[in-house]
Amino acid sequence: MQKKRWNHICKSGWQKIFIMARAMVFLMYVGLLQVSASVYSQETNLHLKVEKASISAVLKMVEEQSDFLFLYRSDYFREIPDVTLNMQDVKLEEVLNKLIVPYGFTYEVDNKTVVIKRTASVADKKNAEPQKRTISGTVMDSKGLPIPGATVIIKGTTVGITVDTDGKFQLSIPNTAKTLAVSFIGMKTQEIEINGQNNFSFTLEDATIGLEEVVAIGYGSQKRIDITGSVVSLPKERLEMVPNLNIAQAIQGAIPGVMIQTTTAGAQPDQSILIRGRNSITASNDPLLVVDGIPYMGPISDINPSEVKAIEILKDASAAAIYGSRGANGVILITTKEGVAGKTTISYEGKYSIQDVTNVSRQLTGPEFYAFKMERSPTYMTASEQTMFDSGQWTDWVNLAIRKGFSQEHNISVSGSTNNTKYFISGGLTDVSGVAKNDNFKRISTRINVETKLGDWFSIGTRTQLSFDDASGKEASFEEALEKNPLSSAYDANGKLTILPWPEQTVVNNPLQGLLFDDIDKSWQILSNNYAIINFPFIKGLNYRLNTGVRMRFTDRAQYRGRDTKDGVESMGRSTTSNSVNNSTVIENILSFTRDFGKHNIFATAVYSYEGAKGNSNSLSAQGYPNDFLKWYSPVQASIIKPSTTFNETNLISQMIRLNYTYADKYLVTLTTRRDGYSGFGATTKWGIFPSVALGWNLVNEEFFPQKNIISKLKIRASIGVNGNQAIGAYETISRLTIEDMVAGNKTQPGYKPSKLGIDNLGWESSHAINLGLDFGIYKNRITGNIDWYHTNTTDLLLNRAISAVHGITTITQNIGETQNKGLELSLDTKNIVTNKFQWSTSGNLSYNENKIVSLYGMLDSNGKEIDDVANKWFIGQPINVNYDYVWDGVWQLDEATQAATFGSRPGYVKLKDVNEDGALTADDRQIIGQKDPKLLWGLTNTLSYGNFMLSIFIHGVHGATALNYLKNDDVQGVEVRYNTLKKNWWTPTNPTNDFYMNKLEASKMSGQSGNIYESTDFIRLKDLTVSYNLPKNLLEKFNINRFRLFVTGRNLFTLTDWSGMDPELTDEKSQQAIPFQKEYVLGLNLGF
Amino acid sequence: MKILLSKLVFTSFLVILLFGCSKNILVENPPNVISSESLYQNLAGFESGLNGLYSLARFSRWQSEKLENVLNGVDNMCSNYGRSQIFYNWGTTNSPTDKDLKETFEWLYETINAANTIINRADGEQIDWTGGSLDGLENKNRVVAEARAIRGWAYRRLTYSWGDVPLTLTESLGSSIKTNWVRTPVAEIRKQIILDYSFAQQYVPIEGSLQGRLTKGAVQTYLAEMYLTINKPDSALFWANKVINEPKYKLVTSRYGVKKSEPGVPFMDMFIEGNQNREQGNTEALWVVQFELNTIGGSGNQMSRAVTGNYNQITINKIRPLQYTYDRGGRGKSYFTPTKWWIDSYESQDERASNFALRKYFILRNAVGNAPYPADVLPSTSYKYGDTIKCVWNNDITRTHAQLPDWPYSRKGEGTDPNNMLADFSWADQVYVRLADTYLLKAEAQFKLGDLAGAATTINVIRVRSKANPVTAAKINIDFILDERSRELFLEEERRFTLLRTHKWFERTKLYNHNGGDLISRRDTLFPIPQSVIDANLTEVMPQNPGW
Repeated sequence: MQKKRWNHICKSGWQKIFIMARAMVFLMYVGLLQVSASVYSQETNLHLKVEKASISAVLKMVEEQSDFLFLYRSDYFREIPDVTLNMQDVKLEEVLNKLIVPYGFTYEVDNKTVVIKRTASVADKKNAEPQKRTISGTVMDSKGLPIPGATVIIKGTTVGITVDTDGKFQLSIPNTAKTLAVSFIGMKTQEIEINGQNNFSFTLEDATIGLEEVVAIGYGSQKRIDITGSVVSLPKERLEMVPNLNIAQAIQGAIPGVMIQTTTAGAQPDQSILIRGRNSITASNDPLLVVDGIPYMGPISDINPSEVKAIEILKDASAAAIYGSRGANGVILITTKEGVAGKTTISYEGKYSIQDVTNVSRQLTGPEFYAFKMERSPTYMTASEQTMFDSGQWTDWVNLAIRKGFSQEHNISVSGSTNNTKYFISGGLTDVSGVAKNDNFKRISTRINVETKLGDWFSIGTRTQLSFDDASGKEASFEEALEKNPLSSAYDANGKLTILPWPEQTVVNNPLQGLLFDDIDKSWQILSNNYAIINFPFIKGLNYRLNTGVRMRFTDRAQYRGRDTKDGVESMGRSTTSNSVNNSTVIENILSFTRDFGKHNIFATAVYSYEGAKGNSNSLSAQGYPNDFLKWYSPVQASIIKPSTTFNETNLISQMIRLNYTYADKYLVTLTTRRDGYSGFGATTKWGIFPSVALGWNLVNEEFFPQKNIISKLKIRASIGVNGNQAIGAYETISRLTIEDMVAGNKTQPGYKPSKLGIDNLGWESSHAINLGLDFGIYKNRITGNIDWYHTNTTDLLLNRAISAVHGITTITQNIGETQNKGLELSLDTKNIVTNKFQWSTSGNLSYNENKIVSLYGMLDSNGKEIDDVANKWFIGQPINVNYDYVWDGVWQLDEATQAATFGSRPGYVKLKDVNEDGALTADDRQIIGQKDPKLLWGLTNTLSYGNFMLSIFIHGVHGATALNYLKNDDVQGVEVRYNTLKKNWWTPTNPTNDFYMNKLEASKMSGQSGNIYESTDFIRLKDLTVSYNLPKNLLEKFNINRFRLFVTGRNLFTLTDWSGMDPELTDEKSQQAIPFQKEYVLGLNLGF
Repeated sequence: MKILLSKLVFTSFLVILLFGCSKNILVENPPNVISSESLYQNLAGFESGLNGLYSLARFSRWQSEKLENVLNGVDNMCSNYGRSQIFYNWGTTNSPTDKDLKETFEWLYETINAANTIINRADGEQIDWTGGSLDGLENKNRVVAEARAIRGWAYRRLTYSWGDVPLTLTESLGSSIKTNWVRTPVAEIRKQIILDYSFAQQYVPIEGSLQGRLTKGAVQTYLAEMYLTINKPDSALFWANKVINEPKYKLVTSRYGVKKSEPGVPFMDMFIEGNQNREQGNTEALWVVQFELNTIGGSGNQMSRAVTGNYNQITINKIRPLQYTYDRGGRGKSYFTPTKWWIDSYESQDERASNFALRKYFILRNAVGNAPYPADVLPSTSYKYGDTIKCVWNNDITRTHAQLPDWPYSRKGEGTDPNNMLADFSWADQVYVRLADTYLLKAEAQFKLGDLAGAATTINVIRVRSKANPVTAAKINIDFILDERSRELFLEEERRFTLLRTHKWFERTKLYNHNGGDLISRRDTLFPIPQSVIDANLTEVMPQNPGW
């Protein structure tokens, strides 16, 4: 009998799996999901042959043969005698009619669920039973607030009730009941012995983060307590309580060891992410993004933060090893929201914000500029400048380029579940008008996350996002506004933007000309992750998951510069249009097995995956249009048309095996190996293997552990492993030529020239990392924290090094050299005050990273010391990114005239240090002036709540970096003084300052070298200040809503820094002259129904 | 447990079956990438390699910085509105970190690598050299000849500009990156240049293999010049005579071409758009660099904006009367401009200094006169159309007397898009080497050999063509020859190199150039090696030129 049943399933079951898996692949590609609505009971034939079995046993047999699930009270059939049946090829109804109806039961079939009830007469008879009584009680949280919706049940039964909105309940219990259990989502279940009491008071505590919390670890999830690697979850408050346009903003400062730097401000701010320091010198240092289990190759800003449920960051080698080839820079796992069991909820999040620039460079005003230019070279003062100066007018270009920014964001979502289907559907709208004129951004996105159970052992689901981005409109050029001559005019007599703001200087355009361009920049993206899960019914704990992910992004760009702009006039109308399609495909087969064998727990995972990315674009530039009517729609009429195309493709194949073993939640082991093959590498170097080992010991779970009442959590973790970095694009190993066309007479002659040197043994960059960690909790986890120490060496760097121009090509990518990162990370969460009305909690983190280059090309000088690469500013033993330049030493003063003269200089000119004191300023006097990446990062959040009010203050600190202040120079285009400059404290004989040299062309250089000013970019910034108010429960009830939260946030309100440039977060040359950083005031509303 | 295990294995097997991936997807076969291996398979491939190489060479007459560092900062040119600081400041601005010098240095080696690639790949065995009217071997020799001539030409510029530079004759490969380049002595490089030119002159056709490519005459002229540089005037004379005696190369002595019927002089016909090429009647041209408006590969050069006068800025009574027009040269910016000495170096009847060649005045024109461009604006009622606005050059350009919109300018550099007066570029082909240069090199060789009468005779062929008075043997000296070159080849010859070749740069620039020339030092006869090149030479110190 038993044997036969197995055979039966093996035969048809396997075929089913196979066919279904095949079918899934097809279905998932098209992103379609159909939930079968057929009437299951009418299609299922049953075969029953039993002798003297209980009714329960027969029903169980039916469950085994089919997908039916029976619901009935366990005592129903206790008094009914065993039955003998022989029914073949029968429907469910026939069985039940024969089996239970005669005994006074009825049944209802809802798809696959069969509910069995007693008919009235029997029920009456049961009700007549004595020994029942009614108890009552309250359920409150630790703050003394009622917890409506909590369930109270008699332990071991299904008898129970839901707590009302006042936190009260009444329940009729049999006298035999022994224990009551109260549970609520997100809280610890509490049990109380009844012991004859009639009134109960429960106080539920929040389920403590870190104990039973389950976190995503990549290709599966694990209980926090069982994790051996360094896996950090983003605090939920950073996602939920703070308005973020993009996920990177939420992470900044919130997780130790993760550095987020803003690289561009504006309507679509850009951030760079660095986890545990810079490993690669020229390859990418970006962490791998994994969205809903699938590696995501797009920008992080594409993910709508309000759709995100959780973010986990894998930092050490062991945790990241499962992503082997791409784990070296850490992994960010993003999980989007899903439906939860229970009634349908609708929520709305709305934000409205006002933006203002934090700091704008103080450029010279018209009169100041005039004085500056007259002092430097009066000969070059042009008539139009003079006229404008005489009229007393001048143009504040910066002021013309900026405006008050606004943004609004609306997200609405519906989530819930029906019988076998969980769903989360959301839609969002973002509309930003940035601080630079015409810098606009709109996004509309929708997400559908649905998972449905097709059977006990088979589920399929999708997580699909559709989005539309619109960044159309060319913004005012901030860089040009900064340098534009204030004695030139933005508008002509008719109020139109001038084509040539400075008539004598025909190379100078109007920085606002972008406002007149016709410009579209739109993109559409489909991100569809579809999966099937098979819980093999015949081996407990064996699970197969098929993930298929498709990302497709279509971009449409077009720009036309008409004859109302300088560019358009010069080219007689110029258009550029481009369409590009980027798509990536991921297919992952994940087999996992998890089971307890007594105190041993095994969790094994095997993965075989394919990942491919393809991109191509077609673009057309045309100029010489007969008129401005049809713009880019009429390139055929243009006099010169240049089409171009691009194409690239990369493929990655991976195999991974991971074994997690725990013994009695005390001893934890994780073993991982991944093997990857990447198309971008040379023929013999395509494959790499990345192993790792991690151990953990939950000391607190040892019987001998003392002080258990004080120390609630104590775990030691250690890991060692190798990760890879493949962060180079396609075709890097191939030497190639590029198009360099020629003409003979009026005929085009196609031409090529060498453009790239390839190396055919290019391979993986490998990071060898050790991590030691300690997690602790004190006083029932009122104080929790962790400490991590790591040490990472990265070898075979994919180095994009500058080579001598004599090669005819000036850069090449090689596998060479070694870098090292070591650091310490701390995080600490404390609940300082916990009373009913008032709570105060603090969450802080701090990380320190030391970065250095260990080796470069292995070439030694005559002293046996390895040779630095001065051309690339890479020095052995120094951080990867350093400033290397002549050292600013102020200004030559009047009493130093003789000394200055020995360097061909004179008082008032810039003074650079003759470091080696050889009496001449030579290349040898260049020094390392600080590192560009910060050493120390920290974040501190204090949250205070009183009643329904909450105040949260988030401060972020960054220390140990130095940058060149690009604005501090007098680079105004030679004697002509074509550009404006920052107002400075210039040296004069009567103002013998060391701040800045005199206003004279030659004064900026000493012995031919420019004097540059480097400054510390350390800052401490009040990042977010949020005040929120939750509508009290009684009012909520009145309006029939379950959540109403109103909040106000101020972002970047206050900054402490010595940096005198625009903003310490925007320090590279480009960003410092681009749109300035902004502060924001946000008003937001969260509503739930 | 055993059953469990076997089922596990079975399941894993099944899963892998479902998605068995072919390993071929890891092999890259980009459809959009071309490599030396795939291109250099047949004659057509080599021809397109030559096209790329000629386009690189074209940069010498294309980009401002490459024009400026051979044309400006000499006896006959100085900065006016200014571009690179070096040429009016010298001193500390002439530095190893100067961007223009770095770009020029990189470009020359890029050109050399492109040439080396063609030369090395031509030795391949499986190449299909057939095509055209020549046989396979002839095709191969001709291709290699053109590549070697351009390589010689690039080393010529490197040695004049920087002195000793690394000599490399092989295609750069990813597997052979060098960090120990050595500066090869100039004499050795010049030997290589002569080898390249000598090989090339055998196979480069008299008329050039395509419009815009080198002619045999151009290569031989360069060979003559290089022999003068290494002080072998007899060889120089031999090669100059080869060119002069080739009947297909003839001086232009009478009017021809697209503006033949309009007023003008034969000398300037060669520089009029539509006339510059041999195919268009310029029998004197030996190498004409190609540009073409509204054509892929046509690009546009910055010669016109660099040297054409900024006449639109001439202001009278706060009015700027002169419109940009095609015949005035478009939108000149006068970055650098003739020195007063040069303007005054002509005899008055010399056609090379007539208003057709050297713009010294403008006529105010009404709408009809200026058509299709707008009428000039009369600055006051005392002016009428037909009146003359004169250029002014009684005081030389100096540090305090610069940015002069009314300074005379050579019309050889004119060029613009006739339909767009704000166009920034010129699409006029550039006469780069012509027979008159060969004559003057011959005269120099004759002078060096002591044949002053012969030199005078040779120079007079050039002078007579432009109605200048013949010169007597007694007047011939190196300065006279340099003066004559300046009068004849202004904007054509790379003046800095001519002066360096004759060791006259320092002296003559100091003497005649008063906006920057007064600031030069002996050090500046060579440019500093770019710091990036020194820094990248990790394992061998690359010495800088003296003085830096």
